[in-house]
Amino acid sequence: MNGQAKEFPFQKSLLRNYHAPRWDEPLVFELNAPGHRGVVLARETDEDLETLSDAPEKLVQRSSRPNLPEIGQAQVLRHYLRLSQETLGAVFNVDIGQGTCTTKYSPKVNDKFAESSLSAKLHPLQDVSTAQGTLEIMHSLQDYMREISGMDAVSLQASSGSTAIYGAVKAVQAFHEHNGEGKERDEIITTLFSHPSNAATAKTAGYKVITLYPNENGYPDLDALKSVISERTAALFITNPEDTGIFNPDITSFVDAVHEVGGLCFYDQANANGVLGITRAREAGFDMCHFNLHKTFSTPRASGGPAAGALCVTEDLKPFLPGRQVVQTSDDRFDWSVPDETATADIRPFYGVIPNLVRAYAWIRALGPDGLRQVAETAVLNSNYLHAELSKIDGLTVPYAEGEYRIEQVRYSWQSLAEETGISTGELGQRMADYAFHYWTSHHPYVVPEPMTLEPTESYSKRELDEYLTSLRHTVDEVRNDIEIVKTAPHRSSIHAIDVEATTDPETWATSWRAYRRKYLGEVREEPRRWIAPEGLPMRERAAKAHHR
Amino acid sequence: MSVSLQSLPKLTIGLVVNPVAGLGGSVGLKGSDGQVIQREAIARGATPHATRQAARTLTKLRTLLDDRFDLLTAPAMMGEDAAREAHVHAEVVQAASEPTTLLSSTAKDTQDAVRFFDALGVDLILFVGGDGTARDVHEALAQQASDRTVLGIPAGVKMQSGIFARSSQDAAVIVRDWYASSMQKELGEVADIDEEARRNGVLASNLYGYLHVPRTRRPLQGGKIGSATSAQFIEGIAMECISQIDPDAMCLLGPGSTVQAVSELLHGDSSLLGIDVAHQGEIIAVDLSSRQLNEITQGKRLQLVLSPVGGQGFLFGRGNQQLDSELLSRVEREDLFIVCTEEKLAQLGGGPLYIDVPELEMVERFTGYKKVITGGHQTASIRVDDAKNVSA
Repeated sequence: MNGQAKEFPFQKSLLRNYHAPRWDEPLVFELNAPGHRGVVLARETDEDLETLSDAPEKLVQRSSRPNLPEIGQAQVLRHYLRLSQETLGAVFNVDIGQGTCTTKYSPKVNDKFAESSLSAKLHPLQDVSTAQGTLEIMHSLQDYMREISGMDAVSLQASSGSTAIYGAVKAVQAFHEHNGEGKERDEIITTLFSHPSNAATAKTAGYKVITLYPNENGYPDLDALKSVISERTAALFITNPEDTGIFNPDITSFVDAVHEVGGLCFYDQANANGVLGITRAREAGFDMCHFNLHKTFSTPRASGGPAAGALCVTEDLKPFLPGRQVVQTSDDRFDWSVPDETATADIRPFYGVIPNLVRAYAWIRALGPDGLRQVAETAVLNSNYLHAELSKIDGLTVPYAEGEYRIEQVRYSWQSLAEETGISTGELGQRMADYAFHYWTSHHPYVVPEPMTLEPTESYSKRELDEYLTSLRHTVDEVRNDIEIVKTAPHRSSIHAIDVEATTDPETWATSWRAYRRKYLGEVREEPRRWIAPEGLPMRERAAKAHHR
Repeated sequence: MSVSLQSLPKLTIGLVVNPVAGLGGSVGLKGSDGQVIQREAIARGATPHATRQAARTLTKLRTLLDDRFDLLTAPAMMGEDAAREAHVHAEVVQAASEPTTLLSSTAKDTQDAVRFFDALGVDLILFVGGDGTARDVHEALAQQASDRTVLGIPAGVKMQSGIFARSSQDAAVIVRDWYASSMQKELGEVADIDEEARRNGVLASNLYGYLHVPRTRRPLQGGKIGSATSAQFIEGIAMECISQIDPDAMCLLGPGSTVQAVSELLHGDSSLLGIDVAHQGEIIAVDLSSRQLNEITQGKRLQLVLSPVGGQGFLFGRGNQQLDSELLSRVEREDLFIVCTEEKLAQLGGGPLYIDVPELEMVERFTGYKKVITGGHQTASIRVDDAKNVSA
């Protein structure tokens, strides 16, 4: 052995010959077989009935049976197994193509801690004296988040990143109301390439949203900000680096300008992968920031289920934080804080998604301060490698600040390939599914034409990055040599191309079995009872109710 | 796109080529409208390339659609030549007069062919040219009050209109995608710039109307409107705009479909392309000249609602001449309301938008960062620049 890696002739190709299973599985409601049971319980005895007669459950018993399908246990298991086989399987897959959604590996050992009965079976109402260990974990996690952000106080109550941002908006509202400016300050400023939840949560809370558009460098001019700040500015909600991966170097001037007119500044760090352990929201002058624990701290993506977010604020904003924090008592034990009178209402019931908080804690402990910084450095290195390799592909450009590297992700443009061949970025993405890869374009509107956003994080090996690159290069070759195979893709995925137009038309949506029966099986739906205004009462005319559900 | 094309009824396409389209561009004339310019272009050595573009589209269509389409076209260099070059069988309609030389083809020939295709009930009219040709097509169909679907194959110098494919090949892909889906259509702008002004280094667009274009996921050049996503926002834009307008002021409503959505929330009829006046929640006059606008709004606070026109984001100036200096001098900076969907703003690259007014004072008043209404409770801060500073 001379120390050189040996090249094995039988090494598999970087291009996967992938094929997904296709089950043509019915809806679970269509599997309804009257009389079938998952579990057969023993018949109740007279004694049981006697015992249950005044049980509290009686009070909440439904008057009629729920309209659920009747299916055997094995059929249910097979049904969900098949559905799971028809997915690309995030978390276990190579999720480079999930740019801005930031999907990274969730170490399995952390599930052990999360599944421990000490955290998983904790009841929110049990006495704190019996949950000291979990509270200590949360207390430490609060400390770590304070250190990582530079802030003074942390709320771990949010069950998703966007919930944490909503908590921040509500804290902004509470702050200005406390200062007697709640009504006057009715505008929140954000940028086009910031996390869309910034604009969405601000609107949900009733704010007017002003969006700044990027200049030729990819971030807004300071003058654009200065033209919209005023005594009506409640806050700036901004992401940096933005979804393009470009870092706004004027960020402290942005913060100063907003502070000068009395507004607050929120740093969206849903994804802090590019700056973890390198920069902190506090040093840039921000009043608040948040982290999506699944984007940065490795907890699993919830995909609609409970995730977790950490909301961090300065001392001035602490009285307005939602939820309770864990505090250390004088006898070195842990307890829940009593919220201030000025505190924002809870943003979810109880204390937060404990299993995810445990996972994030374990991840931070395993890495330590140097490890956290290394996460960012590796994420940036991986992104730069993809950037350098992809720049060699004819037909791909990297709009804004040409020739400069980005931070942890890059928004590329296939416009020139589209003009040459008539392919669209969406069609490229559908072909990438044939190679078992996700592919993400961008949020709407597409300011970068024919966009593609890739974010490799720190999780993937060089071979995996090369597999992604190989599939993408191969797809571009196919576009030039056999465009039909790309335009009619996916061929080897579990589903064919979906009708995108239909997904934007609510009339075609059936988000429940009831809606499906009405819209697709022709069942006549009884109009639900509704309040009818007394005659003569002036009423605003309302649009007909949408029957999505 | 898993539909088998063989199962669909055959597509009938009418093709008309404006052979002089793009003639001026290759020799730096920034347009090809008018025979003087066309002669000048040829004298400078310009060669027509419209036929080549048309042939490219047809060749690609043949690959994508196989024999699933019938082609009707105009004689000689107005389409017949392109079909021959692409080896596509075409039925030559004799409605259009046969141009004997390049310069003897006229706008009337294009319009005659379009009218003929329309009368025959073709599924789609493909035309090759630029904004000038688009205007001819629009005029011909407008005369017949026809909503025939059209698609432009880009060959002109200027393509401000939102009815052109992004390339000749892309046009074929759009036709195929449209044919294989449900053949729905949507509106695209017919806009054109003032060529004379452009040659003097000034940008000025005018909105001439709307044509129906194939609705597919493929983007066209410039602004397409009416897609499902922007439709949801247009209502919000209109409501937001109405809430900001002072009912006691005289409010001038500019051209275009986004402003039209604002008009629809007011009482009374409005015009799509003219400048209308609203007062106290009612549209009190439509499609007025600058003299009429000055008369009717005399002594009242003046407000102005506009939407950017064309592929360059032109707001006002030479394009809408009804807004003369006298009127504009009465509009305060905060009384100018710009409405635009996010989608269109994105197509304009997020700005800047342009104005063209001669008076320095007015340039200063209306340029710089300005709020654009993009939805309910939603604005964008976009830079407005002087069109005279644009490098031509």
